[in-house]
Amino acid sequence: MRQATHGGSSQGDRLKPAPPGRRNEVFRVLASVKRLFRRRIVLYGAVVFLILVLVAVFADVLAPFSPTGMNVRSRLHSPSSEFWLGTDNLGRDVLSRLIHGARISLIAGFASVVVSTVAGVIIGTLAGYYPRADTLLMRIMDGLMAFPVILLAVALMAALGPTLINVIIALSAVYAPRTARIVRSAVLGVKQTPYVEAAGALGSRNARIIGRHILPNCLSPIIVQATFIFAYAVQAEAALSFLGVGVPPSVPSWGSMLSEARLYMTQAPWMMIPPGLAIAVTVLALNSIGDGLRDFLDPRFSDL
Amino acid sequence: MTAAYLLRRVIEIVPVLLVVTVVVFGILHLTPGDPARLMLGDIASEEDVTRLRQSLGLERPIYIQYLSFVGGLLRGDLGESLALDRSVLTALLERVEPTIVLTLFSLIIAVVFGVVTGILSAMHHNRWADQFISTLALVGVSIPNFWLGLIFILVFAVEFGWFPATGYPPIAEKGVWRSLWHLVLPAVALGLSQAAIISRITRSTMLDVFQQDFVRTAVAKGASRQIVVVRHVLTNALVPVLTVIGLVLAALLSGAVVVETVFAIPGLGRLVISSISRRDYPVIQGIVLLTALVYVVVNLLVDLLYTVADPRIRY
Repeated sequence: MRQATHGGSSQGDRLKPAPPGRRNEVFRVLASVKRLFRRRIVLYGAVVFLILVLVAVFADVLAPFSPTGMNVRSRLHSPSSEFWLGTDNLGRDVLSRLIHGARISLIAGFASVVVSTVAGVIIGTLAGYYPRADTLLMRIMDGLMAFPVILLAVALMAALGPTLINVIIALSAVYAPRTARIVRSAVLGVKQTPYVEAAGALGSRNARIIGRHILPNCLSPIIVQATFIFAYAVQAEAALSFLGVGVPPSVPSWGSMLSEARLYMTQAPWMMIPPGLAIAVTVLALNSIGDGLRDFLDPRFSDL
Repeated sequence: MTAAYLLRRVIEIVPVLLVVTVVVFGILHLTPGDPARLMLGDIASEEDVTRLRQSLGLERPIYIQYLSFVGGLLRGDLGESLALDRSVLTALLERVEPTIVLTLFSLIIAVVFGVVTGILSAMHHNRWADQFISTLALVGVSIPNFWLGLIFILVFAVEFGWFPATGYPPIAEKGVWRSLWHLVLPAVALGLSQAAIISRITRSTMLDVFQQDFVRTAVAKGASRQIVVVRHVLTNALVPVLTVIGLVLAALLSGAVVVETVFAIPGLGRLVISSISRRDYPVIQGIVLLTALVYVVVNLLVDLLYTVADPRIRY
């Protein structure tokens, strides 16, 4: 008898009605996460990202020196047992600035992702669900996407002034249209499915159809896009700060560290390597998580 | 491609340009304070601010200001630079050469490098060469181009002395080769991340095409591997690559702002950054507008080329 059922007990489980409640849901999610991490590169990305988050959270404890404390006597020291990564042109400890820079990068990246995703989802859903709003909204998005990313962000920063909040506003304005476009096409796809038609026929209100049926089925592309935007935003914040139009110079940011390092390139090459490496590692971690999530959530693109 | 399609595509650009002009116009009016005060800074006297406000027409209702801004654009008038003592258009034209050359140079690097590695990857699907190139591509998109530029300067200019570290001599002065020589490091730093993106697309579309029936037929006929790849696979796989060229160009224009700063190349990117510290808003607006226009036109051309490259697409 056992031979007849492939996969043994799991087959038996499937025949039973699913027990209601949270527990089951939690196990299902855990099983998916385990499946996701079976891809090595995603696991590495997630571990590296987790470490970065911890570094950012505990920056005050981890940094051996103050990131802004200047000491004229210890200017441009090469790496030593006291200053592991050396000191910069103002005698500040490079390692401490690097550790505190993680905080700025992750805050700027994360906040930009949240704001641009919320805005993008709202705009994209309206455009995808209400054909009347579609043309107007998407033409505006097309117009915003006609600007090269960094240039629009630079221009917005020129108008708004260099603060962390404004960096987040500028980057959100730049990335929201890109999310909106993806959400719109996902909504258009889901909207045509029979279960959405059925919900409409049953007399569900639009808000309920969108909230209960459409958005939950558009989550995959939104999550994947958000991960990639996180990576782009970390890079863009660094670029803006490098150009001197990002966070104010007093704030330790990987981008502004690089713009100072540029001036002392031949005298103090140790100033230049750590911040760039930190940006690259952060972005690489996020990109690998994004790649993994995309393969996992949307197998159509698994070969991309 | 019919004339009607061409006309429709051109008309479709109009609303996009409308949004573009509103945003560019808005850059100056986005700030909560007085734009004239913003441009002159805190130390300027009240009279100077009033004079600038009058000469810019900031007293008029905002929609009149916008209409006269657009009217000026239609006549090719981008306004006057506040700091450079010349019109914005003149200021842009003086600085446009290095940016054009740099962008095209890195576009060529990105396409050649991206397509070649993409083909290699696809031909050795799931073998070590493929894995190596895929990993390299992932690393390539993650390294910030300005950091790559700094490292190039340190290694290839300072350490080995193979290339000049900074600057750009105009073609008219030193000739094409000297100018390009100055742009080798910046163009590679700028182009590599885009090469990584093109490489991924080339690989995945080639793998798609390998699965197609006509490829199987070609193999069944006894065509050599070379013929199959060059004549049947590549010609079909490169069409999607063409479509991303518009996006790649936008990314390159974006990156040029940063890379020009790294290599001290006197192009539009450096001009926009120096204009910010000079509070020269008309110049900032002009550069942002110009790059958006370039992007819109290039995308139109790519779309039109698409129909030529892939005869199956008819409108």
